[in-house]
Amino acid sequence: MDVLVALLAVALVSWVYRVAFTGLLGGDRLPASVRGRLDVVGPAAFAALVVTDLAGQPAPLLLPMGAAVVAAAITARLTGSHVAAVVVAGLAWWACSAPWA
Amino acid sequence: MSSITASRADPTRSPVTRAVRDILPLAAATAPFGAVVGVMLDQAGLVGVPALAGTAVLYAGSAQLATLSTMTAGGGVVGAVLAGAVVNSRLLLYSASHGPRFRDGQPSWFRWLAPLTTVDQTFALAAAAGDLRGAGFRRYWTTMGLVLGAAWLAAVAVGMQLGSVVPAHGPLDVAAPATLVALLVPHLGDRRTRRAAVAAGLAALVAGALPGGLGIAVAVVAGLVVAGPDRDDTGEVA
Repeated sequence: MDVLVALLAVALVSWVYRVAFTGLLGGDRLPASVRGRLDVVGPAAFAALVVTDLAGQPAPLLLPMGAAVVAAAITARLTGSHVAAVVVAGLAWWACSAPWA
Repeated sequence: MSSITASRADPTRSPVTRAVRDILPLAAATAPFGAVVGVMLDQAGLVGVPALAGTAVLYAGSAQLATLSTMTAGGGVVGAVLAGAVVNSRLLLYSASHGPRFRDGQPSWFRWLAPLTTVDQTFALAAAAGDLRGAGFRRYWTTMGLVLGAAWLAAVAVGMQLGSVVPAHGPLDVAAPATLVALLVPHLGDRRTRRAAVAAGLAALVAGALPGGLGIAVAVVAGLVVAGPDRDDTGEVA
């Protein structure tokens, strides 16, 4: 029950985040210096999430996870396919964590 | 945000068709991540309809993982809520970034309910589909959210069923970072965006030790600061 309560509480906070500038406040409440940087929010967040995920791995998993991320980046660059990036990342993880690695 | 992979504007293609075409690959790519969340729910002792209901209203994998991890590690409800809330704080910036398209000429239900489906994937694709405004954007966004949500819930349900047979660490773990990398890579051709991503990544390394996912928020802010303002526009998503 505690888990569900926690999830619902995070959901409520997240909804407030999500509607903060679509319903609650106007975008003009933000200073121009902030508005002028919002176009790079996505890439900055994606990079921060990936690095945080990698840095939080146990030492034995750093190599397979690092290889998977690099493989995903190369695949996404070459093919533009998100599905292919995930599949190749999984294969890279498996190859680098197999007994022969 | 204009360089991300998304279908090009085509006057003969409806926003609904375009949304389905854009989101399906990402929905497929996030399925393994959903399965990981399902496994975590099972390990946290929350299964069935309550688990799926909680997943549906939260609709955010990273925050859900942070919340569940904190709970299973004995961090308590307050600690878990704080962890999830901090991880999701980037949604505040997403809201600011695409706020004008949700406000201008849109009905109230869209302004208040449609942002429930704001996640990394929908945000990135909507930013790339900058030509859509008004009703077109509304149809595009709603379709994306429904398709991704259905796929997400299905994947979480499968993960809950597989919970007892999936090892603690496995190839499924790469799904989240691989998806995020695939979203990030198309942006790196632009120098200013590259600067933001590199700065955020480095800051995440340094600030990663901060508790409860606070490092992610710090890193995103660092990325915005280092990127500097876009001199070509007024701050709205182009």
